[in-house]
Amino acid sequence: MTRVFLGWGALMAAIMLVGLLFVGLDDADSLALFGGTVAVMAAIAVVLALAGWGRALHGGVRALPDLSPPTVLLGVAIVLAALGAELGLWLALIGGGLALLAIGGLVREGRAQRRALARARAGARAGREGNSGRLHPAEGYERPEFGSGGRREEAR
Amino acid sequence: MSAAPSVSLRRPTLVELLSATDHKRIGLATTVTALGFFFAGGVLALLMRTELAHSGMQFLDHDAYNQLFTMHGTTMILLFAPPVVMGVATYFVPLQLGAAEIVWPRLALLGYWLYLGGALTVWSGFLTEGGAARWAWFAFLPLSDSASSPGTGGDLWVLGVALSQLGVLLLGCSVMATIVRRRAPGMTLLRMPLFCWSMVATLLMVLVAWPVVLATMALLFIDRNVTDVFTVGGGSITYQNLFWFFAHPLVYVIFFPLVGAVGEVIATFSRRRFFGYRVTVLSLLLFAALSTSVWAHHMFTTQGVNNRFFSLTSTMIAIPAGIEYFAFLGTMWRGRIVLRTPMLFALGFVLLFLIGGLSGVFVASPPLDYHAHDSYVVVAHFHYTLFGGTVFGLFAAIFHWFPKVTGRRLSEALGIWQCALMFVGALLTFVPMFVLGFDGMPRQVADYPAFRDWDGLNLLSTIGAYMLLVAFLLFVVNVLRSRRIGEPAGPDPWGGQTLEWATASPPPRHNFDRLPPVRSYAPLLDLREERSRAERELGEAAGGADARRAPAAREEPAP
Amino acid sequence: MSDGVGDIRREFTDLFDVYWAIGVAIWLLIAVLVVVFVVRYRARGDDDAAPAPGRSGNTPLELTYAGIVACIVAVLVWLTFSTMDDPGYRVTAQGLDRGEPPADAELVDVTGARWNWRFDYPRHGISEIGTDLRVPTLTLPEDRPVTLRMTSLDVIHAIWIPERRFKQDVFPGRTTTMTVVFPDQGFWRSGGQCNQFCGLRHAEMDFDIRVLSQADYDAWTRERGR
Ligand code: HEM
Ligand SMILES: [Cu+2]
Ligand SMILES: [Cu+2]
Repeated sequence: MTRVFLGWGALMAAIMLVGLLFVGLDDADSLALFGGTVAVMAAIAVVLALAGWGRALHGGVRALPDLSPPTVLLGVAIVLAALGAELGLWLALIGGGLALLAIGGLVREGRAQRRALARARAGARAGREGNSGRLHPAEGYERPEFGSGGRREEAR
Repeated sequence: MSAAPSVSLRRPTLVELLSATDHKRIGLATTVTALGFFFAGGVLALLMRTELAHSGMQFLDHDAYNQLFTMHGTTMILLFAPPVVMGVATYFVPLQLGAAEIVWPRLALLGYWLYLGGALTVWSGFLTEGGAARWAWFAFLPLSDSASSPGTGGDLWVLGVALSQLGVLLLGCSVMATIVRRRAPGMTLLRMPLFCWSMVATLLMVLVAWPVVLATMALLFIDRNVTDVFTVGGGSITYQNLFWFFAHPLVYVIFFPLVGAVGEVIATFSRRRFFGYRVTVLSLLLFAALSTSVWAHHMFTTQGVNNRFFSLTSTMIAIPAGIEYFAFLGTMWRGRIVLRTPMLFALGFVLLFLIGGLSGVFVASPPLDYHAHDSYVVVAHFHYTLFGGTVFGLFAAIFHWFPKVTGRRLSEALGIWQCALMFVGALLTFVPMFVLGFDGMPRQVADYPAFRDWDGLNLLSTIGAYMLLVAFLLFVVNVLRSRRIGEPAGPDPWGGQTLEWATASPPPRHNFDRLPPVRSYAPLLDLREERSRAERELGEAAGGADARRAPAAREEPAP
Repeated sequence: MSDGVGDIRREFTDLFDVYWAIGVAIWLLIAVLVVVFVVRYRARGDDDAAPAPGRSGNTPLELTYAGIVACIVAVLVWLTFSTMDDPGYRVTAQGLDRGEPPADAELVDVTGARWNWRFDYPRHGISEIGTDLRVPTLTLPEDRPVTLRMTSLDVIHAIWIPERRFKQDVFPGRTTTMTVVFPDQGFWRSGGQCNQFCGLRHAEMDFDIRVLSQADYDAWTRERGR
């Protein structure tokens, strides 16, 4: 994927250059917007490359909780805080307070998730599938044979 | 005969629906919310069309009308369309990639809530004393500054647009990260389904354009409430540059995903692989780059931009668009075409969007745009892209994927009626607008003088708009009917080609129990072709054996 | 036509005819192909799920086709640019590559303010001011270039003269210009209108256009001017 970002950024640079060289595109606004686009693409590509994120990741044990109320609270808090900019400081403060609460909740959720993950890993090593720590379906199906007793068969 | 759904049969509670980390729940919530705003925006359009049916003011005043078109435009193009494509993508991209879940599910969930909160904020403008914003959906400065448009409704508009588009951006980041990170084993980039590629093209634009609208809205808010930011003079040009740098990619953001979806529908219902996949993928990326380079064609009449450059890039867009059309037709060519509802909507998309695309080439020429700009010609043009493109494409996607999402089928008969009404309605509503605009009718007016003789065409357009309402109500009936008595769909009701059809309908929490091998961008079609090849060979072998005993059996057609 | 200032309406129509013909031809071509394919390749028999045979993709063909589309695009761009380069058109339609208004052009200073127009004729000392009760009239000489120097007192407006197939925006704090020629005498009720949404009564921000023979125009300037 890194190449896609880079390639697309290069395409944008090429279009800008055509404008600059052949059609007299020279206003500051346009050049800044084009330049910014190219820079954003380059930055994404660099981050992906540095983080080793360019390649797809398969497998892995998941321990994501099914519901995440603190995330919802955070969303509501941000909306309220933003409305505070219009309706008054009190609302911004309420929003800020709720956001703190939500972040606390998210931290707890994250800790619980890490614990569940560790448990699930142990379970997976022992050959079981934990309830919430289910294996990624790709794992263990290196060359799965399709249609052998799968749901599709039942439908036919 | 149907597969036992592997998710719990108990209806999820609202809380479970709205705080779930499952990408399917997030995607569904986003899509349904956006459809709600589509309906609301449609109601506003009907109010406008009712007022416009005759010359003279009948039941609205100018101020109300100005709020209506501002909110219709804002709702449709900011609160309905980008969220709906993000919702569909959040649901289906992980499924098509064979992933168990989305990357950064909490970010996506947060995105949904910011979108909902922002959208409600925009609409809450109607409840304020001064009413909602009334500065058109592009809020040009200085009309949108605090001197020219004071009032809470305007501030709520700015905040709501920023929040809702931040939500769209977060959903988009999550989908993009999933594409980067979570493709199934064997799914190389050039084996991704077309819809996923169309999302890549879309999200590249989102990543550069959406931060700009956030910044622009922040500056506009400061300009209104704190201190002048966009000072008079070049400032209003800069605002327009910033806004259209967001808003032009925007109209492709709400179109590309449906090119992808329609491409898959056409392939599925032509019973063959999408034609010219590689060239189409490349053309989508080129399309996205050009789309990000044309913004100032909205500013041809400002004398503040390089008209030649933006005319050149805008006209060049016809090249990737033409390639897509060639691929659609190539897929149907020598196919085995089955006219089910998704395919009908897809064909409607092909024919109606084409009107929008061709009229787009026309307004990309400055000498022609000097006449068409801000007239009803432009209103007609962009409704063929938005209604003919986005809405028809969306219904193709909805009819295609509804059985996957709910496990039940929609009624074909109702769907055909809806499609026919929508097709005729879209022609009746928007074709007269071309004529009116050419004849001099400006957009964004609540009234037109009787001596112009524009009454007849306007009435026609209004009648068309009511047909569109009926079509949408048929869809609602269809959904309700399907929830009650829709026949079970099974995992793969259409003979799908991509991974989402290899799991139950609706898919279980982690999507797949097992994945078929991915050897191309149409893995299920591979299997089907393999099977029919094997059957043919088996049949020949068996036929050969039979032939020794009873030669006549060879003439029997294969069952 | 004096000084090679073009007839914008004619230039528009010439260009439009080409775009229109190509557009209609392409739409019809694709519509016919869609219908033909649907009829010709419709699945028959009950086994409508069987995959259709045949190769899906033909890169040389696709690239050839892309080349053809690119040629059409090149022709359209060329036509557009040559219209913009036409000396007559160039002084008329501005943009960044604007030409100077012709020397013999009549000059009108246009001021837009919500929601009315004001026309000042600096060479004749005439001011025509619209009010809530009175729609202003823009009076022009026949067959002679008239340059409008436009600015706004508040928000962005625009002047659209559908009869001439032309419009330009009107900004506060900037001056934009457009040069028009009316080849024939006449009167156009609401012949010019504001075309950039500017608030409450944008719909009513219009003006009449009256085109007089040069002699009548001279008489009018003498009578109105000081
Ligand atoms: C349901 C059928 C629809 C009807 C009858 C309709 C009707 C209209 C009309 C009459 C106008 C012009 C208002 C004016 O300039 O005075 C308008 C403007 C607009 N419409 Fe629609 N529309 C429909 C659907 C849509 C859809 C699906 C979208 C986008 C996805 C959309 C986006 C817009 C936008 C962006 C504007 C411009 C608003 C502005 O000038 O600020 N419309 N519509
Ligand atoms: Cu105005
Ligand atoms: Cu106006």
